[in-house]
Amino acid sequence: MSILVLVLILVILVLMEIPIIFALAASALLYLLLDGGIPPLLVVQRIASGLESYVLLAIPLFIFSGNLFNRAGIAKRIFSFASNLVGHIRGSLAHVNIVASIIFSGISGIAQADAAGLGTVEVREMRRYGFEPAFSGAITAVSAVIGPIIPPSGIMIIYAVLSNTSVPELFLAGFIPGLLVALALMATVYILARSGTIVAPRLKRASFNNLAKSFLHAIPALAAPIFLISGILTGFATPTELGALTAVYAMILGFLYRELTWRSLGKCIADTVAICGVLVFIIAAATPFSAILALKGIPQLLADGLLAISTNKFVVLAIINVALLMIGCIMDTTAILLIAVPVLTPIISQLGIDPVHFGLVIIVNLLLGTLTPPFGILLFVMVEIASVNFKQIVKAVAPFYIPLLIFLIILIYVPQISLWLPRLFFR
Amino acid sequence: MTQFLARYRRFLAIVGRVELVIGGALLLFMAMLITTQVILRSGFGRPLTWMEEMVTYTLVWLTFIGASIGLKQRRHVTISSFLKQLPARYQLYVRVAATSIIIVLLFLLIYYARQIIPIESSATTVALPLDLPRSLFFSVALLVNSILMQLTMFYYLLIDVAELNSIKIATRAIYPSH
Repeated sequence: MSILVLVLILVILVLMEIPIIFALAASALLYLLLDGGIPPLLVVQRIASGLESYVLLAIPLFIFSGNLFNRAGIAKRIFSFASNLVGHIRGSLAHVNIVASIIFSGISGIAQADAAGLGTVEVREMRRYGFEPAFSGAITAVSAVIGPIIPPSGIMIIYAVLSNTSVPELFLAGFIPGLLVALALMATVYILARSGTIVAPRLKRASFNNLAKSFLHAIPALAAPIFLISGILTGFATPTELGALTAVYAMILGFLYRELTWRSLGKCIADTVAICGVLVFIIAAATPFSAILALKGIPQLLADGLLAISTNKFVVLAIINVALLMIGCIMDTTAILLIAVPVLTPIISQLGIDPVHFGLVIIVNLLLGTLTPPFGILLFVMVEIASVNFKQIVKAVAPFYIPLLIFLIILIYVPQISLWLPRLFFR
Repeated sequence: MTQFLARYRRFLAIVGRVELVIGGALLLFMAMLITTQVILRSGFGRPLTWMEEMVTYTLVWLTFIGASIGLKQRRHVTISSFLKQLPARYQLYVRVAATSIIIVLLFLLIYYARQIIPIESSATTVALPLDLPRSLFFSVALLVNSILMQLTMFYYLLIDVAELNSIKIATRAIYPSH
C-alpha cells in the first residue's frame, strides 16, 4: 500500500485534534492493519525500546534544572543584569529581553520553558515601561528560539540520538549560531526603534556599581553554562551526567538562597515529570511511524529522488529546507524531527554534508516553525502570557521573520559558522 | 451520571497523585544515581557498571508515567485550529470520534503489549546485579501506561457523551495543571 495512505491518515487524525502522540501511533497501527505486510507486533515492540538511550536521559535532567533555576528566582536576577547591561541602547527592554534569553538558554533546554518562565517576567516589565503588549510578547517569543540553539538543548539531544551524532559536538556547534541569531534580532529591534515602528522608551545607563551588583547576583546563572561547557571540553562528564550535576547544583543553590522550599521543589519535580512525559513520549510514539518509513525503504527512495534533481549539496539542502519550512508551519517540531531525520540521514551522508552542520540547520529551520501561524507553539504561549490575540502577535512577530530567514540561509551556505568550534576542540 | 462522573474524576485524581509520587521518585533517583556515578568515577576511580542500564530503564518508566500525567493535565501537543471553524455541536461529534479512536488505539496497544511480554521475558538485563526479564522495563511499562491512559480516556469520553446529552458537569479537568 502506498505510503501516502499513512501520511493521509496522520493528517486526518491531526486535524481531528487528536494529540500528536496518539495520531502518530494510531496512523502507524492502522496502516499496518490495512497493509497486512508487516506484523504490528514487531512495530509495537519498538515503542518502549525506542527510549533505550542513555543520551536521552539528559532531556529530563536539563528540564529539571531549568525548572529549578526558574523556581529559585533566577529569571529576575538575569533580567536585572541584562537591564543594566543593555537597557540604555535604543530598543531598551527589547534588547534586554534578547540578552536575558541568551543567558537563560545556557540553563534551559526547551524554547517553551524560556518563553513561559523568563517570558512572564520579561513581558510584565516591558509593559510596565510602556511597550505595546503585542510587541512585548513577540520579542519574547522570537528570542525564545535562541534557547534550543545554545546548549543545553532538548531538540539537539533528540537529533543526536536519531542521527548518531555526538552531543558534545552539537552543543559546541550551537554557540556561534545562537549568538548570531541574538545579534540579528537586536539589529532588527534597533532598526524598528529608530524608524519609530515600535515604541521603545529608553532606560538610563546603569552606573558601574549597579552593573557590578546585578552581575554578582546573576553569577549563579552565568556559572551554569560555563560549568556545562568546561565539563564537555575537559571530558570530565558526559552531557547526561552534566544534566544531573546541574540539577543538583540548582537544587543546592535554591536552598542556599532560601528561594526554594520543599513545597516548591515538589511542584518543580511534578512539573518536570509531566513535561518529560509529554516531550520524551513523542519519541516513543513516533517510533512505529518511523519504523514503517524505514521498512518501506522511504529514506533511499527520497534520496534517489532528490539526487535525481541535483547532486549539488547546496541545492539539495535548499530543497530540504523549503520543504521543512512548509511542514514546520503545520506540524509539531519534535514530531517532524523524529520523522524527517531518519529519512534524510542517507541523503546527507551520500552528499558528504556534515551531520553536525545539518543538525544546526534543521534545528534553526524547525524553530522558525514555532513562530509561524497557524500552529506556532510559541505564538500560543505568548497569546496567554501577553494577553493579546493571535492576529496581533503574528503581526508583531512578522518583521523578525526576515532576519531569521536570512540567518538560516547564511547558516546553510556557510558551514563554518556551526563547525568552527567543534573542529577546533574535537577534530 | 453526574455523581458517577464526579467519583470517577476523584478516583483519577488519586491515581494521578500516585503517578506523580512514583514519577518524582524516579526522577530524583535518576539524578542522584548519575551524580553518585560521577563522584565514584572521578573521586574513587570505581564507577558502578550497572548504573547506565539502571537509569536508562528508569527513563522508560519515568516517561510512561509522565505521559499518563500529561494526559490527565491535557498537556500533550494538539494542533488545534480547524475544529474551531465548525459549529459547537459538530465540534463535539468530532471530539467524541477522536476520543473513541484513541480508546481503540489503547486497546490495541494493551493487546499487543500482553503478547510481547512473554517474548521479551526470554531476554534478561545485562549489567544489573540481578538478572531481570527485559519485559519489566519495556512491554510491562507500555502495558501499564496504556491501561492508565485508557482509564483517563474513558473519563474524557464520558464527559463528552454527557455534554452531548446536555448533562451539566461542574468540573471537567481531572486536576488543574501546574
